[in-house]
Amino acid sequence: MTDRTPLLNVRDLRTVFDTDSGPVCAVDGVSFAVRPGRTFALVGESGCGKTATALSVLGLVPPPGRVTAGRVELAGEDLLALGERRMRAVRGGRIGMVFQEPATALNPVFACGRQVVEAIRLHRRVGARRAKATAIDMLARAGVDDPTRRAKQYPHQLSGGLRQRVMIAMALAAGPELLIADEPTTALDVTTQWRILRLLRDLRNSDGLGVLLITHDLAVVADSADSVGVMYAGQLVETADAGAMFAEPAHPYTRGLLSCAARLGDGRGRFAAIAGAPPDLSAPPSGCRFHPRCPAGRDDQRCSSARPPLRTVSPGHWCACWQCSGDGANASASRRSERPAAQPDRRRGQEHTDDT
Amino acid sequence: MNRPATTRSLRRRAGRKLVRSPMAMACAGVIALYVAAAVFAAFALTPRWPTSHDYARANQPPSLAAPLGTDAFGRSVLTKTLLGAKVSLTVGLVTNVIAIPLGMVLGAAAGYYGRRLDDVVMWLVATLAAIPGIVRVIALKFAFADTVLLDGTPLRLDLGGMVGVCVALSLTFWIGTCRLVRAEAMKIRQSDYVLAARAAGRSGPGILFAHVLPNVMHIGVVNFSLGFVAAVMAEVVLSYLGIGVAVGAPSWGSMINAARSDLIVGRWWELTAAVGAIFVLVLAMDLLGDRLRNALDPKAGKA
Repeated sequence: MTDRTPLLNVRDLRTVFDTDSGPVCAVDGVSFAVRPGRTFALVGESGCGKTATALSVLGLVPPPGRVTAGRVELAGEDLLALGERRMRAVRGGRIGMVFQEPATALNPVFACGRQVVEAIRLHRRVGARRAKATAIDMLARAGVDDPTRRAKQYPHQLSGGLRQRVMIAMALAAGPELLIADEPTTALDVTTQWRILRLLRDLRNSDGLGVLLITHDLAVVADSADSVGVMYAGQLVETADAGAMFAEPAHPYTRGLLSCAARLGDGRGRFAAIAGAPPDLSAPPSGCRFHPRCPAGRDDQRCSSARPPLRTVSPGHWCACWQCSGDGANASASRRSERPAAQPDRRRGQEHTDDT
Repeated sequence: MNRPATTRSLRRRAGRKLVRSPMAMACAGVIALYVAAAVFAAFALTPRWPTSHDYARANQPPSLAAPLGTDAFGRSVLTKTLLGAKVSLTVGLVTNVIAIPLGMVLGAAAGYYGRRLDDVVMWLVATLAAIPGIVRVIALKFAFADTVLLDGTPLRLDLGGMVGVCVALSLTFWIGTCRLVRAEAMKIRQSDYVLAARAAGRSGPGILFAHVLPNVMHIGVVNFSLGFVAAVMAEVVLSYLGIGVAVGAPSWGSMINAARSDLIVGRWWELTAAVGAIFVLVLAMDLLGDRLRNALDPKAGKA
């Protein structure tokens, strides 16, 4: 399965926002690949650069942000080198995008069907009647019941789940090869979440669609993703097949995330939260960006001085951590519980940045 | 949330709200009467408007022959009033047909694109807005004096008369709409559905016309109804001052001007006819505009 050529290949992507208080590197050297018929999940906390990565792929980073380095290849073609006009053909035509909040991502003044029709006619030269028939067909495929009637309804008349189905129909209307789903289920209730995820999985399987799934929800990852990339403070810290990631998380941050996730019947009364908060990206910590919050490698000079490269932990499993070189990973895991709680992490993070 | 049996658009819902309001319907009826009077005046009365004067029948009080009396030149005040309706409604309509789209497109483009375009449009707005409205209109009207565009063609535009009033008022009225639309467009620019439209491959102008403008249409509709009233009143003021419609042309403003000294000698009918016509039209327009604004405001509650 991993031998297939990637549909989307992102290499060393770097996206910088030139803010008043200096440049903020929201995406810092991120590399990953999405294969056709597979789902790649980008996981991380809010503000870690997941959405900025997705918008960079589409060339839609809002000013003052811009992509400063790296390659984004869609089926071998470098998207960053395309002009605006050709990029517009890619957006929607070859890459569809589903947004987090279907209530605001649909235009309130147009009926749903018309919005799908527009998505079709932006990329295909078809008559109004054919486009309408295709739109209703797409709505039906996206699991909208009674699509002919629903097509005439306005977004405010639909439930959240239905709106998201309309969004999916719009994103897939022009028959893209890649679907970017940015937190597609976050705004939905739990039962609707699973229906939407199942729908995305079915569409992926039937159309051979590559899916870039952006989420902070590990349950979503476990359910839908084939491979996973974990982002922290704009950097990719670990990437692996979903199975390997859940079975043997190598990076301390990934382990922290996994221990935060609720599990039924594991007997613990409390969640083990990762102490501290994500760093300020305008002044990121030196060395490994996670080290001020990291339970492992407290005494290792390298953590605070040099950025750890992505290294192979096992075949198909990479991790950017000085402490996890293959088998040594488990030792640091056991040390996690000994970590004193309620450390003033933010301040310590500041001290480290002052050193640089 | 229960599903409505039939699908209704926001616009249709606003329409239904208006139809259900007796006051709105009464106002619409009054305005329809004015429109009918203006159309009737334009086609039936204008050709028969006397250019010669009949001093034998001058200054007669209302009678069966002349229901609203006659003016100092022996012309029917009723006919004059109806012709005035034509002028007022034309000025109101033409002014806003020019001003509202101008303000909406400039405001939406300035708000959506921002940067340099926004600077230019806002500079223009600030500069024009720095001059008091009536002074601006009068200055423009004087600047247009004796200006005739496209002379010798069927499209001949004499800016000295009514067309000039419309243009001068349009160049003033677009500012308010532009400001409101710009502010709204700046909000819309940040919205998810604009980002979604860009992600679907829409171009900048495509988003402006397909997503931004439809979402500010309600501002245009409300400003049209407000602007209509303002234009009618401004035309009256300009014609009263003698810089409105061409001298001698019938208009409510010039009627008031002609009759301003009549009241002292007891000739009340011409002034009353003009003021009454203005009063009823403006009241109906204002009330309808108010109902319209309520109907288009989704937060105004059910009416």
